[in-house]
Amino acid sequence: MFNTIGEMMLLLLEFFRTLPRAWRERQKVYEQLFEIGNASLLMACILSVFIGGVIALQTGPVLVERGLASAIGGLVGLSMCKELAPVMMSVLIAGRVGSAMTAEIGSMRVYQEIDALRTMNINPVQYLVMPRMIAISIALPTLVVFAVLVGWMGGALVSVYNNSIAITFEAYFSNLSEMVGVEDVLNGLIKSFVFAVIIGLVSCQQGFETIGGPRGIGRSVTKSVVNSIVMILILDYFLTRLLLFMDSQP
Amino acid sequence: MSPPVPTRSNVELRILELHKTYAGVPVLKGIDLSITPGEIFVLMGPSGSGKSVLLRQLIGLEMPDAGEVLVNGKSVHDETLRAECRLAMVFQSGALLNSLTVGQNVGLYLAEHRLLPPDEIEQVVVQKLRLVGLQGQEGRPVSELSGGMRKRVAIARALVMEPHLILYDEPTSELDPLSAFTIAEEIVELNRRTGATSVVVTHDRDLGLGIANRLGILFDGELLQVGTPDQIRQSSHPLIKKFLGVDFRLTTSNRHLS
Repeated sequence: MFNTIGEMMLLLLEFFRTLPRAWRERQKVYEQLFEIGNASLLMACILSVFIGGVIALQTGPVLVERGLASAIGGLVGLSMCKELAPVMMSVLIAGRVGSAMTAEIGSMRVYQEIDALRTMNINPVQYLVMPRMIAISIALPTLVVFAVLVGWMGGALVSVYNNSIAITFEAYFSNLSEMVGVEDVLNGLIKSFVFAVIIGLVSCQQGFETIGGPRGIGRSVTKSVVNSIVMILILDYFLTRLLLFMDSQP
Repeated sequence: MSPPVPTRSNVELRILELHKTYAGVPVLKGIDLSITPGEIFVLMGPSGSGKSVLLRQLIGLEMPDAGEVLVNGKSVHDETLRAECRLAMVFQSGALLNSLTVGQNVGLYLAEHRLLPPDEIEQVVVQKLRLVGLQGQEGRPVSELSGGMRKRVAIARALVMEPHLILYDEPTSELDPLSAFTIAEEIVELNRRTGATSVVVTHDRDLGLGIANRLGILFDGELLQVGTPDQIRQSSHPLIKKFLGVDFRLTTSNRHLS
């Protein structure tokens, strides 16, 4: 485990070293952004609408019972932007995009394509890792903003059309805008940016570590998804504590 | 970096006491060898004798456990070396980037190092593909190519670098005799035209003895003998005699007869 973390740190260092050449590689970044968007936008939309809806469905009747129906908007709004959208979108991206990154880099490693790059004096980190890291760091926070908005809409639909809640759109969104501030959305964006870096690093590092043919590629993909999700959930706790602490400072 | 221009090779390779071990198993056991500028040196030996491992050490893809590879007196791992001389390798599988087309693969070195504008890269790609008999294939995805074509694209990709030293890993493996003959001719022709020092790893006796200026016979991680094709043919070493003398047709037909 410590070996893997060490390898990831070295990869991160090499990534920073290649960053000054990012503008030169912008075409590859666009291609990666397109691939990430293509792979995840529809799924993000479906996931978010149902996550927003289920929070409203679970909490709405209880709040109505206690005469707090107007708080549903705020509850859905805060849970989506501070916790659920960043974590769920990161898990989705780890599964759909991170796994593809590991598989692609892993097969390039197994079939000596990375060695071929090295013999041509082409830095594999600049060629393969840097565009992916930049793209995922842009794509995931963007996806989170999108997921937050769609999740709010999902919550609104359930709150309005479910008979056991049945509040108006105005009541829902007025409470949401009262409870949720820009800093809450920023909170989620900071988390998603950190998660994006983690997914990119874990996926690329696992790809580079791949050995042993198609079975090895499969093993690396599984390991990369599992490691990414575990790290996201552990980091989520500590990041939340840190962000809460920073929020509490005057 | 400036665009690569063809220059006569003056690359000398020296391998000093090279050792490499994988998982406790010694694969290279103290290889000592000198390869002179412009020659075709063939490393021959049975499968598993350490030929490809040695080749990976020569191009600097792996670090040896002990010993050194010197290119014109500089370690192959010296970062300044590649500014002075261009080293290329043709992998056994071709190692073409599957996400790119034939043309993109061939022009990759020039494009990534921004050595020429895109339209000039296209011209170079066309020219190099013509040299290996693949004119008009620029736009084809590499996944559609046969084994022989992949190898020729890999050779074209190496040629784009105008290399001073070119390493071939089993260039004729998995090829039919005609394709193997064509590749062998190309290796000799390229060496004649560019003067690039060439190291060819193979277990194909006909190829090795046919194209080499000198050969080295590797057995179980040890270099048994180095010499010209004639010297190797006349070798009295029992393992070399056995390796060169095995005739599968006779053995099989005798077995059938008995």
